[in-house]
Amino acid sequence: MKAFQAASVKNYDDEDLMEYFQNGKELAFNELVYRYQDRLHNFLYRYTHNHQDCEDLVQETFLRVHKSKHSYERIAKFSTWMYTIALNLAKSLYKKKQRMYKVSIHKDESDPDDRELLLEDANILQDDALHEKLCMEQLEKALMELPEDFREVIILRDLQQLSYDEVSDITNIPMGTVKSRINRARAQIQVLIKDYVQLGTNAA
Amino acid sequence: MHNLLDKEYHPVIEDFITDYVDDKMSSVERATFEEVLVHDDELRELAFSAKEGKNLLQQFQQIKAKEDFIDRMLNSIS
Repeated sequence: MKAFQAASVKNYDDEDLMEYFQNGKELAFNELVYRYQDRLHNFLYRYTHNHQDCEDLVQETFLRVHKSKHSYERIAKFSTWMYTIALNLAKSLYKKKQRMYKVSIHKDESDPDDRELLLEDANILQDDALHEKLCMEQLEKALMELPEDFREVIILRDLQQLSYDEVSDITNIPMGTVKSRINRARAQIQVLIKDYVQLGTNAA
Repeated sequence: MHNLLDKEYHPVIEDFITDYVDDKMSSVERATFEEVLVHDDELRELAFSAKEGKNLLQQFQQIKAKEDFIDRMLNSIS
């Protein structure tokens, strides 16, 4: 491998940078953080829906990359390896939060004053910006309504723009299943959004 | 609510749906597939919905890292 040139750091591909980093060039790692910080935030936010949790996960992902640099082998794309780490961290956090929030709330049938709380969506479209914001919220909501197996593949494919091969590698799911889930997840997103729009129209 | 998640087609058909949604078909393949769609309501609904769903997902706002993220990140390592 050629000697590391700090001035050319932007020109190296990810795998070269990782190799330089494995050989002690911290600047190569910094460049990888720079390249992937936004993409990882965008990816992990879909799992956390919370900016602080998201940032913590991104940071933890990079820390693992840093700490486990020698476990990376060049046979895999760097991005595939890193997204696998990020996805595993996201799943761990998701399970942890599920355990934390698993609180049972029962309605007391014998108590006439004990009613289920109904939260109504009182969105009023006032301008284009708000309309756009609501559309984004609907998309976000639709995404969260998908079963996890379906959500993770379209996040990787349609939001992270990864190839089907990479999605298959990261999730460890056969290509045929990846495509099938992506087809259905995309379709279901459209169905969910259509339902939200109809509900909104009927409520108006 | 209508659920499109359950039914699964033969892998070849799944490939066709993906290529159709991603606009990766030749004109001949597209014409052939669209002929199939005309006669299969469920498949047509899935393919059209998937195409529209993909377009919706492309509107998603991009979440970005805070400006000082890298500095804080690298400080935590050193």
